[in-house]
Amino acid sequence: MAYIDIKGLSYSYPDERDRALKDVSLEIEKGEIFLLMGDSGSGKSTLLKCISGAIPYFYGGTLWGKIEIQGKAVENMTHQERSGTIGMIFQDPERQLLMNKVHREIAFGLENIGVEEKNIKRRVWEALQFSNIQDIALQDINTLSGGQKQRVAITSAVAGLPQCILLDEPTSQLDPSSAEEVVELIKKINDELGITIVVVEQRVDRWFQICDRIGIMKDGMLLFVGTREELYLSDDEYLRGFLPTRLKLAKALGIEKMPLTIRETRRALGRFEFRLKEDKHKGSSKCILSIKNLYCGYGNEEILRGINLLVNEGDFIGIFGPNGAGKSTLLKSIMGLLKYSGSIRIMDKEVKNLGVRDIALISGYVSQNPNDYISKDTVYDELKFTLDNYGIKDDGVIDITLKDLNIYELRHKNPRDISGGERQRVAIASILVLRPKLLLLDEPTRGLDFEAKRKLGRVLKSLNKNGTTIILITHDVDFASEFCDRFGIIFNGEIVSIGTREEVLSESIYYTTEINKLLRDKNKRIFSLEQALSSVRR
Amino acid sequence: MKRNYNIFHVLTLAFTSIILMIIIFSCESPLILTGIFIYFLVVFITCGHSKDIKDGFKYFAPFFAVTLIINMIFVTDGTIMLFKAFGKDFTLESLIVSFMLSFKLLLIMYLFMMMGIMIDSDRAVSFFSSKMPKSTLMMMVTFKLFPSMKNRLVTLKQIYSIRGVDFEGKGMRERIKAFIPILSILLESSLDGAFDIGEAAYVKGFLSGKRTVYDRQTFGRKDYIVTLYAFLLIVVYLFFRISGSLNFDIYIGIDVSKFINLGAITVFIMLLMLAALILILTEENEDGLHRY
Repeated sequence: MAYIDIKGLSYSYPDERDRALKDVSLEIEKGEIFLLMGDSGSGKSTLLKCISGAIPYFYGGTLWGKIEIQGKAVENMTHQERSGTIGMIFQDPERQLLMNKVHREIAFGLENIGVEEKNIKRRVWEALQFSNIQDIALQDINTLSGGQKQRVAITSAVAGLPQCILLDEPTSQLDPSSAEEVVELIKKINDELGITIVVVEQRVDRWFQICDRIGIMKDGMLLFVGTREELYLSDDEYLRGFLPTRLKLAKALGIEKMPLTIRETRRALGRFEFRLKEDKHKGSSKCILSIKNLYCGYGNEEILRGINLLVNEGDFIGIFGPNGAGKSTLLKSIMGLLKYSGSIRIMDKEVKNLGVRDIALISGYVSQNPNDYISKDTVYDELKFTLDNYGIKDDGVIDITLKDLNIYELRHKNPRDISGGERQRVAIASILVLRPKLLLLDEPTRGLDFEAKRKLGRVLKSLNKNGTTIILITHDVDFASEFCDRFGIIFNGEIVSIGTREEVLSESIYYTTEINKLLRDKNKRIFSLEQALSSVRR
Repeated sequence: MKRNYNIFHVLTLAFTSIILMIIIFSCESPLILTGIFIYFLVVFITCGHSKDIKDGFKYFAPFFAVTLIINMIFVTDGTIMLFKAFGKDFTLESLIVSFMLSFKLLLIMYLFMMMGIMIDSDRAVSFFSSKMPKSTLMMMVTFKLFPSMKNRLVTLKQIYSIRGVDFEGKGMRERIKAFIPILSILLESSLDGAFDIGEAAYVKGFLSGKRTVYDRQTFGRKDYIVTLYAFLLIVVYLFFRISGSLNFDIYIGIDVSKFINLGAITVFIMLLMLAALILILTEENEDGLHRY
C-alpha cells in the first residue's frame, strides 16, 4: 500500500466553473522524494494543498475522489492529526512565519498540535541543531535573510516530526546559494529522518539530483509519473522540456544512458568536440549612462562603495550578485530614488539635478513585483494611466508598446486575471509606454516558469535590438547568458567584474551557466544549450 | 544596565497598561497625567529606549499645533485673554486645554510604545492563543501585516512617482487622489497577505484543538505585588474621581487647588511608587540574576 494514495482527484475552487485538478491519481511511497513539475497554473500547488487538507477545509470548493495517507482518508483525520502528520512549506518565507523570535516560531506548531509540554523545549532545540541554525535561535525573524527564514520554516516543520513534508516552490524567492542550502537541508531530512518529501519547483536542476520520482502536470492533469531515467528516456518533447539543461544536452547528443551527476555528464561528453564561430558583440560607443565613484546607502548603512560603470547605447547588461550586495540599490540610485555621492549621468544629465518624473522619461525602472504595477481594470488603462500622469495624449503609443511586448491581445483583459509572465510584461509596458532610452529591470524572471521566461527574454531582446538599452538584475544566469551581451558581478557594494560573456562568465567560479561549467575545458565560449548543439562535432 | 521587563507575566503587564489607559482617558488633572508621563520616562530610560521619548515628541508637536489652532479659533471661553485677533478672544485657558488634549494623545502613544517594549509579543500570542485563539489570530495577522505594509508603501510610492503620480500635489484633494492607486494595491496585497498568514497558521494546526505551551510563565510573587498595587491605584483614583476632587475644568477659572489637591497628590505619588516598584522588582544581582 502506498504511503500517499490519491485516486481520481478532481477539484474546483469556490465560484470557479473550471476544474483546477482533473482526475489525478498518484501513489507516493514512504520515504520518497517526489518532485512535482509543470507550467504555471497546471495544478501543482493545488494538489499539494489537497494533500495537506488546506483544500477543501481552508479554501472551500468542491473536491471529488479521495486521498489516503497511510491508509487513512484525509477527510477522516482531525485538523490536529493532519497538522501533526503533514508539514507544509510555502513559497514566500515572509508570509508563513508567525512569531517574532526564531525559537518561538519553531515552538508555535508544536503548541498547536498539542505536543506534551515536557517535550516541546527538547524538540525545539534539537530541531534547531539538526538544521544547524542554533546561532540564530534567539534572533528576531525580521532580521534574517530570505534563505534563513526559509530554513526556519523548514525547521519548524521538522520539529513536529511529521511523516511527510510538502514544499511549494521553497526556493523560488531565494538566491542560488540560499536555494542550495535549502535543498541540502531537505535531503538531510529525508536521509536521516526518513520523512517523505513532495516538492513543487520551477528551478529543477538541484531537485532533480536528489529526487526519486517525478510527476509532471499540465492543465490540471498528471501527464507523467516516473523515475528520472524514465523521464530522460521519454521521447515526448513537452516532457523533455523539464529535464535539467545538462540532460537536455546529453539527450540531444544521443547519449543513451542518463548521466546521473554533472561529473558523469562531463565524462559522457568527452567524445564530442565543440567549435564555435567567433561572435563579437558590436556595441555602440555612445555612452548613455556614466556612473563615477558612486556611494549610496540607507541611513548610516553604506551599500554601494565607489561604483564606476559606463553603459553604451544598445547594451543589454545582466548584473549578478548575492542578496544584499547592492544590486537593487544601484538601480534605485540611477532612478534618483536614493541620495548618493559621486556622479550618475544619464544622457549627459546629472541624476541628482533632475526630478524623478524627468528621469522616468529617459530611464524606466521595473521593480521585482509586477503586482506593484496593477492598479487599473484593463491592461490598456494601466498603460494609459502612466501616459495621463505625464499629460501625454498620444494613445497610439499604447498599441505600439503592447504589440512590442506581445500582449496586444490582452489589452481589454483585467491584469489581475492574466498569468505571472504576462503580468510581468504588463508591468514593463506600463513603464515602456514613456519610450525611455534606458530600461532597468529588477529580477524580472522571479517566479516565472521556463516558457514565460523564454517569451520575456525574446521580447526584451527585440526591444534591445530596436534601440532600448537594458540593465537587468537577476539570479538566473542561464537567462542572462542567453539574452544579455554584457555582464557585471557585484559583491559588497562593488562591481568586481564587468565585461563580455567570455570575460565575465568564462572566468567565473559561481556565476556561470551549467553548460559552461560542463564544457569550459573544451570550449569556454559556450554558455547555452543552443550554442552547444550548434557547435558540436562528434 | 538595561532592565528586562519581560520577567513580568503578560497578564500583569496587560492589566497595568489597561489601568493606565483608563486613567489617561478619564483624567483631566495635569498632576496625575504628569505622574503617568514620569512613569513612562522611567520605563523608556531604564530599558534603553530613550529614543522613543524623542520620537513621541515628533508626533506630539504637529498634533499640538493643529489642536491649538482649532481650539483657539472655535473656543473663546476663559477669562485670561492672551490676544485679540479677527474680532475673537484668544485665551490662556484654551491654550492650556489644547496642550492637555495633545499631551493625553502623547501619553497614549507612549503607552503603546511601552507595551511593545515590556510585553514579549510571542509570549503574549502563546498565552492568549489558548484563552481566545480567534482574536489572537486576528491580532497576529494585523501585527504581521503592518510592518510589511509600511515597507510596501515606500516601494509603491517610488514606483508610482516614476509612473508620474505627483504625491506632492498643490491641493489636499490632489494629494489624496494621488494615493488612491497605491492604496488599492496595498488593500489587495494586505488581503492576500492576511489569507496567506491564515493558511500558514491553519496548516500549522492553529485552532485545531487544545494547545500546549512552550514556555509557560508562572504568575509569581512580583506579579501579585504589581497587580495588587495597580488595582489599589485604580480604586484610589476612582474614589477621588467619584468624590469630585479630580474634577478639573479650566474654563471655570484657574485655581491651583483644583489641580493640586489631596486626590491628585495621592494618585501622583502612587504613580511614582508604581515606577519605583517595577524598578525594585526588576533589579538585578551582580551576577545578572533577578531576585524574584
